[in-house]
Amino acid sequence: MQRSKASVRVEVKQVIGALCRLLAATGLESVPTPENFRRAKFGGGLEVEDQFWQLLADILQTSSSVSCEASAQLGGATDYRKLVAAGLWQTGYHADWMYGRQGGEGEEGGEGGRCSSRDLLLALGWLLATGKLEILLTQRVQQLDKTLLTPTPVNPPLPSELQLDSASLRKLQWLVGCLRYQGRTLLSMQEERTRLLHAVVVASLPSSVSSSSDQSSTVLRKDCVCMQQLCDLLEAYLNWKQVEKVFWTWMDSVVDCHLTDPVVKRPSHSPNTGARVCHHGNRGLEKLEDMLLRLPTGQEAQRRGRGDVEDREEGRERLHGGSDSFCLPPPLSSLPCLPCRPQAYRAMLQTEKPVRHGRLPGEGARGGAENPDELPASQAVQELLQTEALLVERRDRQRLANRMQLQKMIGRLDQLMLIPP
Amino acid sequence: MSLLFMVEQAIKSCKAEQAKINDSIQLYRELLHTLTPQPKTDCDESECADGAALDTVTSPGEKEDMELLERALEKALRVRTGTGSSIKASKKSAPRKEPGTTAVTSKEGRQASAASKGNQATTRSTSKSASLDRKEHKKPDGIVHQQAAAARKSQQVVSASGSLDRGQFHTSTLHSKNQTIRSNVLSGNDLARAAAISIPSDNTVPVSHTHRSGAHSLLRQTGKASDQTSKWKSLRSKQNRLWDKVVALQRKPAPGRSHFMERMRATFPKDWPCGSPDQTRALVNRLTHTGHDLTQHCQTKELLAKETPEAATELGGKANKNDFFLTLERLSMTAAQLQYFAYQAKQEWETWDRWRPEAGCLCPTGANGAWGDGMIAPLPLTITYTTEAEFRKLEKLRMRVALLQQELYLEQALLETLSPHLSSIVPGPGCPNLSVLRDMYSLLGEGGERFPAIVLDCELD
Repeated sequence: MQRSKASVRVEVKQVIGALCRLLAATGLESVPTPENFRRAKFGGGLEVEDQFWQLLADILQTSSSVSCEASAQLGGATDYRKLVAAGLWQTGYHADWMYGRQGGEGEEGGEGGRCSSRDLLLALGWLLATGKLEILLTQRVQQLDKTLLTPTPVNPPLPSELQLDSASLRKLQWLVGCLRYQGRTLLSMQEERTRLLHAVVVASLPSSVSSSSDQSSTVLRKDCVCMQQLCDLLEAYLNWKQVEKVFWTWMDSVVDCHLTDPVVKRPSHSPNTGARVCHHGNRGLEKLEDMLLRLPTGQEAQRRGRGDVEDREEGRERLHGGSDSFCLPPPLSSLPCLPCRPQAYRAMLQTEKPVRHGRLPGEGARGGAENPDELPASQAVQELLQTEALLVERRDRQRLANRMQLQKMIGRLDQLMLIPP
Repeated sequence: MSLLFMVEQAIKSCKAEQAKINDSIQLYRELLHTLTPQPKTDCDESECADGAALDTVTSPGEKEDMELLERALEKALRVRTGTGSSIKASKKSAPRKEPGTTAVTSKEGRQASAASKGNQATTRSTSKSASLDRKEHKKPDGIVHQQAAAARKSQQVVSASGSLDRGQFHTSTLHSKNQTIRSNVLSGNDLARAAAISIPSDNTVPVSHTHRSGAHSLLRQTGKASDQTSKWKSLRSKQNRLWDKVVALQRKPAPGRSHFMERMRATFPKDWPCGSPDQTRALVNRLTHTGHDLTQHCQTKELLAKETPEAATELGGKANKNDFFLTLERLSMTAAQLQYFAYQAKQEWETWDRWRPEAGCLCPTGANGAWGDGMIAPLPLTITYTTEAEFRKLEKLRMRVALLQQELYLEQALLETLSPHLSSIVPGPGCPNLSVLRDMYSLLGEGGERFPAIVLDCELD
């Protein structure tokens, strides 16, 4: 009995060691030692606590769970803690200690504001469970793998204004033209890159003819270093994934400790009742309301008549079907959405006959819930073609409507005749 | 924020993306340079001697490049040495080398060496080059001159890459030039060695001297370099193997993980929504967009239906017609769904907001905040392709969709910005002038690509 306990402890320590190595491999600087994890479980000391604060803050910042500008403004230990609290909130975590007393800042021992290193360990477990580890990994992979293809950034529309005079309109015209030109350049550059990348992929096949040129190159050497790091990272991840189960069992025991701890009471903090201002979210909410007002359901649908009400009921029922009252139904998979993949991807040349996992074509197009990690190019192309067609249609429709509206308006003006191009 | 600023930002990010792509293009080129076998035109003198074969490999374009390069080198040398003899020599040698490769020249030199056996007294470099008989030639000035030029070029290369390892300079500095130029420089190495021996009296001696050591270290590194290539390859395949394993493991569920999450959730307050503020925010955003699209869709449809039935066909395509009938049926349904979702999202957000910690929200802006779909971003996707054409198509489409999306966003912002002004288009003093109308029409109706003509129709009678 004693012996098996000891061996379990050793095993846990190894598993945590694997986690620590993985965290370090993703580029985090301050990773506590496995021993400190153990100490944290039993409420370690201040030193352990500090290490976990640091780790949490690092993870939240690196995975962009909190805005970088905001975190840059913060400094010092208390602010650090604020950052961690805000970041954990962003991930949907809750703990009493995240809610310091209003006005009682820096009052460490204060009710609700105080936390132990075990609390922090639990929070870390939460972050790992919600997939922050994968995000960190992906980010690091993007730095290391020079052949990874990343999505092209698209600037979202923002509320904006424009002076309606011919000078600004002309400038706008010019800029729009400029943007179009830049886009075309981008397209042709990308084509060149694709060509070269394909050549690199082919050259990297083991079967390809090896170079006979007698040169060594810095670039090659550097890439080797990066790839070595990448392999180490992936290996660390694999090692972790293989033993992850043990870690969660251990975390379970941490939760047990947490729950049986007499100090812990049920949430004492009540939700804030005062008006809160998260302007990011609230602005989004305003937009949503605005959208709802303009939504054509009401009379429109009514006018169109039959079958409509049933449809609605049916839809509602269906939506209610698989969900309890707190959770959203498997979100949005039933909503019409654009099948686009804003994801980085690795391009792999398939040399031998494909060994597919029995997945139906188009099944992966649903996105979200069961995001497949592997995809044949033909399928991706299909999805993109769909998206493109949809976008083009949308654009053309909007332009047509604009044209008609303007033609009508200009037509009403005296003595003016508009001749469309 | 000004709309102009928004477009400027879009242009800026476009340029940033270009720079990024350019970087990878450079990188891939350099990698390919060392990885793939280059046409063998260099180094080996016995091969160089086989000038006829070489000539058939070089394309006219490459020849032209080489000739240009050589001319430039000659000119540079002339400027530097400023000796009359070399000017004369270059004049002499210029018409002689039609294909213009140094390799060929050295072959000529070699052929000439047999003939020049008795003629050695006339060459300047007799004393030292006697031991290297095959390097002798009839027109020493011309050849030496060229060798010197090559040596000088090599020296430039060496000094340009001073911080880099010896022997690695070819790809690192000449990556953007084509292979032929590179091989030219390479054969220059040999010639430079020859030059170092045969023209001790020449003023390029120190140059050749430095280069000689470079050439030696190059030879020493040869073994190392092919090691490097195979190391790179094995790392690549190792990486692929690891990815395969990762993907396979990723598919397996981790029950411990979700169990832990469930237990933690149980300690959260009763009204705690599942998911996260991040996700809710993304959801709100997505709903807003979907709703917006839907509204626009309906409006346009109606407008089109009301105005001109034939306008509906202007958009063309059977698909569109299909869509026209289909969506009318589905619209209300979708709208109802949307409202339902929106209601839930709103409630959820309000809960989140109530529980927001003191520090504020620190909401992340940018990519993964508002615009990602807020789901757990999985690991990078692996897309397998079978032909280069397929890969190209995929990449092209990906870019086209991104550009299209950008265009749509822009036009949407434009419409939102301009539509309040549309009401001012009424007869009267407040009406915008003709050029404004014209620009508006072009931007809103033609994507800024084409312009309408506006005719002022004033009959004076």
